[in-house]
Amino acid sequence: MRETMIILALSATLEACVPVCANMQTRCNGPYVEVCDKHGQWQRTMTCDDVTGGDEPWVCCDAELGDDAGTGHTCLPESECGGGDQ
Amino acid sequence: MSSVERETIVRREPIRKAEPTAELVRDFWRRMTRAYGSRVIDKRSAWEMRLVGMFLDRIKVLDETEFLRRYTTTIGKRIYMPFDVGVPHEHYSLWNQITVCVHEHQHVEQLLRDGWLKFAGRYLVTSAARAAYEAEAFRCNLELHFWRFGEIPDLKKLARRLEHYGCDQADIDMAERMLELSVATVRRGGIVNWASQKAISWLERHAPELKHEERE
Repeated sequence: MRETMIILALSATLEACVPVCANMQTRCNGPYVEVCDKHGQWQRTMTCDDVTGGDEPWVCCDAELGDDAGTGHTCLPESECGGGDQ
Repeated sequence: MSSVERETIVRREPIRKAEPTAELVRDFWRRMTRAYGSRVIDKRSAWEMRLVGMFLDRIKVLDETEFLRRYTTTIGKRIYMPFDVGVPHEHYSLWNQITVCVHEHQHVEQLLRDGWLKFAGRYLVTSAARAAYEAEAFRCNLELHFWRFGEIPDLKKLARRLEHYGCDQADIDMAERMLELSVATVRRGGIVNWASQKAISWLERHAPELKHEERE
């Protein structure tokens, strides 16, 4: 039992060290907007369900950010996310 | 003077922005600390902060005096402040005292959301996670700035503050990216952080004169 626990803990630690994404990549993970850090791990940055303001629900999608920031995943009003990468 | 000339002069008059009063800032802090059950402590006389300051100085992260005079620090629900609420300070105008209050309470939100173990562990152990937590709290500065001025603050400058948090350039770039992603939401009138939501809802009711004028 003890050995199994150690193996599980070790594999969880190793798993956390294996890069799973490219630095600065962004994605929607359900209602969460996530950004990939320098270790190749996803860091949560926003929860669209938590956003207040406006009359529509906020959802995560890929969009033009403006101000020379290119595109990226963010929380937008549902009507602006139609057809986007969700 | 013709009406056109008069109108031109009126239009060129700078718009005087209302300033928060000392009383408003004190009421605001009272409201936020009550909502979160947080406690304000004078950083300049807190022995534990002197110890932290000496440690940071020793490992060459931050000068001890600078740490005690310039930085507000939150540990759990204890907020260590280098200024007296409602008294303008060289590094904290009255408006900045409002924004720092919201920023620090977002850290309290993070603690409530993630729990002590996860929050403290991630914040202290990995600089990337620390940058993510701080970028989230910097979003309060962004949201409050947009509410007041109707403009987006300098995101590079905000993210660069992480240089003093033991973060490297890759962490700073990621924090800036996180803020860029938030701008799209904020510009459309969205408020992401819970501490900002509480703060802006209170300010809308008690100090609507501080809000920027909506453009047609």
